[in-house]
Amino acid sequence: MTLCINGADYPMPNDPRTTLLDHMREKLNLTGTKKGCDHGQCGACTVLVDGKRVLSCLQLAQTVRGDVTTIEGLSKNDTLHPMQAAFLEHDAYQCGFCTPGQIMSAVACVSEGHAGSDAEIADWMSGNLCRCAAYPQIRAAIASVAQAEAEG
Amino acid sequence: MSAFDITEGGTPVDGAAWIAGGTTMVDLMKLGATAPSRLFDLGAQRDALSGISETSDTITLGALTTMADAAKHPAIRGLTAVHTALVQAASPQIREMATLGGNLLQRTRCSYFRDTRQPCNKRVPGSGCPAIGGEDGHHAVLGGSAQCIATYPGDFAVVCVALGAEITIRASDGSERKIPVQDLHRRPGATPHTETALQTGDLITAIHLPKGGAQSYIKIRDRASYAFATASAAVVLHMDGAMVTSARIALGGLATVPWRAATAEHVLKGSMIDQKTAFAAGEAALQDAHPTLTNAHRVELGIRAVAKAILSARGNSV
Amino acid sequence: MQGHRIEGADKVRGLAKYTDDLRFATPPLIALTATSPVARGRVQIDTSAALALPGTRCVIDHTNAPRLKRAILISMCEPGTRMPLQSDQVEYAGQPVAIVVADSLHAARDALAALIVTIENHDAPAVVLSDAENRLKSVRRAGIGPGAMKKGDADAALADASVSAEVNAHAAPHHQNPMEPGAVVARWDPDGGVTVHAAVQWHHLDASMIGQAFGLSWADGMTGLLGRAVLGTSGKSKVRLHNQLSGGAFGRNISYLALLLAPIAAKVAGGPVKLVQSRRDTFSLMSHRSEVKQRLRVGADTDGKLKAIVLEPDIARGNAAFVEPIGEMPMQLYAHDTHRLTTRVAKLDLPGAGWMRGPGVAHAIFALEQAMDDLARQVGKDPLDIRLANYSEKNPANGKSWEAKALLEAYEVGAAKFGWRDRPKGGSVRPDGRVSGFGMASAIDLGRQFPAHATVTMTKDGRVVVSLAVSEMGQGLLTGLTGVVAEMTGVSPDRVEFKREATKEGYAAGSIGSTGTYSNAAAVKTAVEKIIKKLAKAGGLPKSSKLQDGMLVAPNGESAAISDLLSRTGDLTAKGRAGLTFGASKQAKASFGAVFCEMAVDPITLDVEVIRLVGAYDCGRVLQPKIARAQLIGAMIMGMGQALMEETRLDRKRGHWTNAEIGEALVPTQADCPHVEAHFVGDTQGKPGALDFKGIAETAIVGVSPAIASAFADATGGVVHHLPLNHAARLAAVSRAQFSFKEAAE
Ligand SMILES: Cc1cc2nc3c(=O)[nH]c(=O)nc-3n(C[C@H](O)[C@H](O)[C@H](O)COP(=O)(O)OP(=O)(O)OC[C@H]3O[C@@H](n4cnc5c(N)ncnc54)[C@H](O)[C@@H]3O)c2cc1C
Ligand code: SF4
Ligand code: FES
Ligand code: FES
Repeated sequence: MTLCINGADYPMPNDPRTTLLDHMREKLNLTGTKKGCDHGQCGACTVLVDGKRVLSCLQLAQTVRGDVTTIEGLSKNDTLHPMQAAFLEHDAYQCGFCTPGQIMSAVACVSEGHAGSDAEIADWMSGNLCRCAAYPQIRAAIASVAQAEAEG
Repeated sequence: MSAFDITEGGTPVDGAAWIAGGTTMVDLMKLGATAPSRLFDLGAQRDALSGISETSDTITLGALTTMADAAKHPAIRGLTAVHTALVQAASPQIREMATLGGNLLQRTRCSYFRDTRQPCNKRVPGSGCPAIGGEDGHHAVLGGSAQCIATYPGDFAVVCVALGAEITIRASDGSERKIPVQDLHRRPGATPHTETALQTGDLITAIHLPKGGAQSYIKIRDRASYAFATASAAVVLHMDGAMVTSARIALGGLATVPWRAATAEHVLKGSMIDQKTAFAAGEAALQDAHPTLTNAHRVELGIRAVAKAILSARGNSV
Repeated sequence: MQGHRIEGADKVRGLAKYTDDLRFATPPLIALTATSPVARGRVQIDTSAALALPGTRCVIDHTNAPRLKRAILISMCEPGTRMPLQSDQVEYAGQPVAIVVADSLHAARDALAALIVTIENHDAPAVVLSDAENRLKSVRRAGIGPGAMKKGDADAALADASVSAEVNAHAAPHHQNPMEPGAVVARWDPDGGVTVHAAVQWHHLDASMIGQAFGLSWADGMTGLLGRAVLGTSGKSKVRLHNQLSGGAFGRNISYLALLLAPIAAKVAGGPVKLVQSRRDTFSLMSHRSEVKQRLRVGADTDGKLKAIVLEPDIARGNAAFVEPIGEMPMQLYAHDTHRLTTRVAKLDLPGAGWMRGPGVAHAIFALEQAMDDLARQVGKDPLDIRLANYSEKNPANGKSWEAKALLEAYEVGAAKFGWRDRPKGGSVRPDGRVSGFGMASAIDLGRQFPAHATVTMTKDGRVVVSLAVSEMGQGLLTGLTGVVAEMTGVSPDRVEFKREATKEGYAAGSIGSTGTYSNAAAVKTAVEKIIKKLAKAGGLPKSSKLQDGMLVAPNGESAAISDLLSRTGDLTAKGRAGLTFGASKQAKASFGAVFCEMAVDPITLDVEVIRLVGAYDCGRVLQPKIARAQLIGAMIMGMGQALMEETRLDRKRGHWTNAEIGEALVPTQADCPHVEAHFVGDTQGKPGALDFKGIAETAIVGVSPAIASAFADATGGVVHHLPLNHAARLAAVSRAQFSFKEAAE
């Protein structure tokens, strides 16, 4: 059994208790995904599994069914993913600790079609706490990507 | 987390448990609040046990349907209360992971239950209930016992009770039975550790939601999102013109189980809805409330939630 | 990348490393902390089962922990009062009672679960002020603020006043809860010193704390610290504290226990250790903002002009010297004739309270502004007008003139941007059936300066290297200071390097109270001025020359290329110190602001939504407007959290924080976040050559909670003096009968 993360195959952990988050951080040196609570209450550990956003702290690694994408897998070569570029441009972060989770969630928010208005973004991004409260800038970053996509 | 193993086939026996989305299970295992010896991963049966089908009067959802998938289905969008309960629950990420069956069976958020350094009758039978006489601001005002006053925290089950929804249960011998969601959860009584009518190995396979009725779900909480209800109410009305011919009302966030408020239903039946009747029904719904040390304000909040839900259900009927 | 934060690209790529992300050649063992479930008693720990597990390396409790020495801590945090793991005495719930050290995170969790912690004969604690009447003691000082003050006969003036108002404010305790739970890595070095990796807000203070506790050389103790800060000596420090990126802090990352627990664990384990804090741990291993009650009475004439302010706060403190400095600011905001401040403090059986954004002032202004609103109602004035009527050109507490004060402009700009003068009547029904309320408040925060000591080197190859262990925790200090250094030295920002790990060359001022940029820039400036003198000498130019675009330019226009000068002199290094008097000056210094709030209230459920927050702030010179505005906006939203939801609840019998989880101790989510505007007023450019910075974020959290309470009162008539204004508080203030909701929500 292997885990596909960012297009590469990694071994499954032997210990069934291992969460996807701990496995990535402790064993695979994928520390971009953050742990803010370890109990599903903050969104810092958000990753995509087959394009859907999930909390890697509540996901046992052995029960992952699908391909995992993390913040490290978002940019191709050296080019930032449009969402990363938008976060940078809109200063949509301060301490940066929630940022990987915000960006992964934001990518899904747009692909789900939940970025149609400021209010809709606010609602569908409410699973990612930002204590620095870069919230308005995060909304602006997401809106800009959604708009660019809509315009093709 | 104590040791266990994960398997895909078979049925749990004593000490083992199903795991679906894992959003309750993994959380509680990490806390040490539950420690199954073995997990039976329902993920392998996801295809067979998820999906949504419809007849003229019922919508049937596979128990492994995720909250996210259910919420975006057109049939569910038609059931306003169900849709609201789903999209106002947890967070987008949790809703992608969490299944409807697991959602019904989520456990209390009682802080003592979650903190394994504290005693708790539900977690360790007989160890005592520090919530009684302790920090009980979010504990139940309805359905508690001298052993436990833990609130049932979920939203979806409350709407299920108001709708009169049923679940199909498959026992480990393969036999199937149907029960109303209202009969799924048990009040704590003297055995707070027994929370549901399920037997070891029982699997919820489907949830059946009756269609029709003017409905609404009102969830009151202390922030706009990503929070459990401090009080909630689900209302389903059948109307003849402006008159209520039948009503079903359930409360969430206030009781030890998803709470059917039958007295309030009687108040509404045969009446015209205005603010006065809405509040009268609210008061009837909470008339048996037993607040403890610091949660009395939630009785008033419950009354207001019911009133609001009735008024908006009427609004949704036109 | 011009215009972005220096560390921004790493942050959006997930490459920014926080302490728990660091990887080392020798992977550290993992340590977790066991904490006491109850507040008082004697602890006994059965370690046998934990030690029997294969992955366990050791368990440390009071019986085998190294004995730590006392530390003098000007941060006033807990280790200044009590060092961890020194006795079996339990003084608060959540107190560290043991550390397990194991091979992996899993193994450490197993060891922790296998520990049997018994607390014997625990007696009843007092953890809330209402249970601690008998512990209240009058104080002359409350932390960094005064405890007692007197100007004239305030009681007589109050009795004689034509109009008076009384506010009995109460604020629940709450936690800073930055997103990073935090970890500390420690390793003992062959020379007997210790290397520590951690995110700290006040680098040298905490290096000194570690040095004092473990009895390292004089250079690591208080003497060494003072020597570096005041005399500029550079000691031979054996505490190598590497300051890491901080995933937020808000006052929490100062002198915290894990900075001692990790070295303790590494010492006993005999190898490098990473102590990981769980979110729950952070509630008691780190500080919180404590519970505060305030009885505030004000008297005024019939125009609403203040005659008397009588403030009597009761403040909780835990197991630390820190006391929320409530009395510091409220007498400095409005003109008044007399005042009296009488503070009482009760030591509760809680972890040490500590710094959080807007220490003291956020709560104090909440009470004061509520009283101003009450006066406004009584004399029939608009809330803004009553504040204008009490505007004070000088500092009303001591008569000093202000260095700069653009509060009038803040009122004007804020009101205009918000549309305050044309707002609908409070209580009017919105199209969606909810009712509207509008409120406003003033903001103030004292400008402070802390000592800092920087070493600056200009190199022949055109770099500027600054040794200063500043903290980057999201406030943008690195980017801001880089800009300042680039401006001072005439090089481009990408040629400026910060050595933040320096332990002896630079003494960075703490990033507390929004003072970091100002205090540290001042030290850098002094160093750069010295370098300019040396360059000027080498180039035969006057000392008053300036560095600009790679040139040293004399006032008469004569100039020389810096690179040429440096090739003659070689690399130039200078030390600069500033802030030794903690910013004492003939003039008073503070940031000011005005904040306006629009709210919608559901009349049936009393659900509230903050629709708009508009603030205008005089924060002095604004370095990077984008970053500075982000600071203001973030603090305003945090103020909204403080107003509406933030509280950490306590079990009064067992004494523990019950909702010690980030999802249960609520903080604002994206969905709570209103439309927020922050405008700058005052002299945002600064005088040429002067630094002119003032605090930013601390100021913006102030005023938000009273503006929100004021908007709620405007909408419903319900006056809430309790923070947070959660449903319980709102329901207590607005009865069903009192609040008519005829047209509402139907
Ligand atoms: C931070 C946070 C916030 C939340 N907020 C809300 C909220 O606001 N409203 C709300 O309603 N919920 C909320 N939840 C709860 C969440 O919705 C539930 O955790 C989730 O729905 C459980 O589904 P699951 O598939 O993950 O269940 P699991 O965790 O996999 O299982 C839960 C339980 O059900 C059992 N089980 C699962 N499926 C079946 C089945 N088909 N038959 C029999 N037994 C089964 C398992 O053995 C286990 O005991 C929140 C959760 C978190 C972590
Ligand atoms: S209320 Fe129930 S769950 Fe909570 S402590 Fe008491 S027994 Fe345990
Ligand atoms: S770490 Fe997973 S939600 Fe907080
Ligand atoms: S940027 Fe600091 S928590 Fe979001």
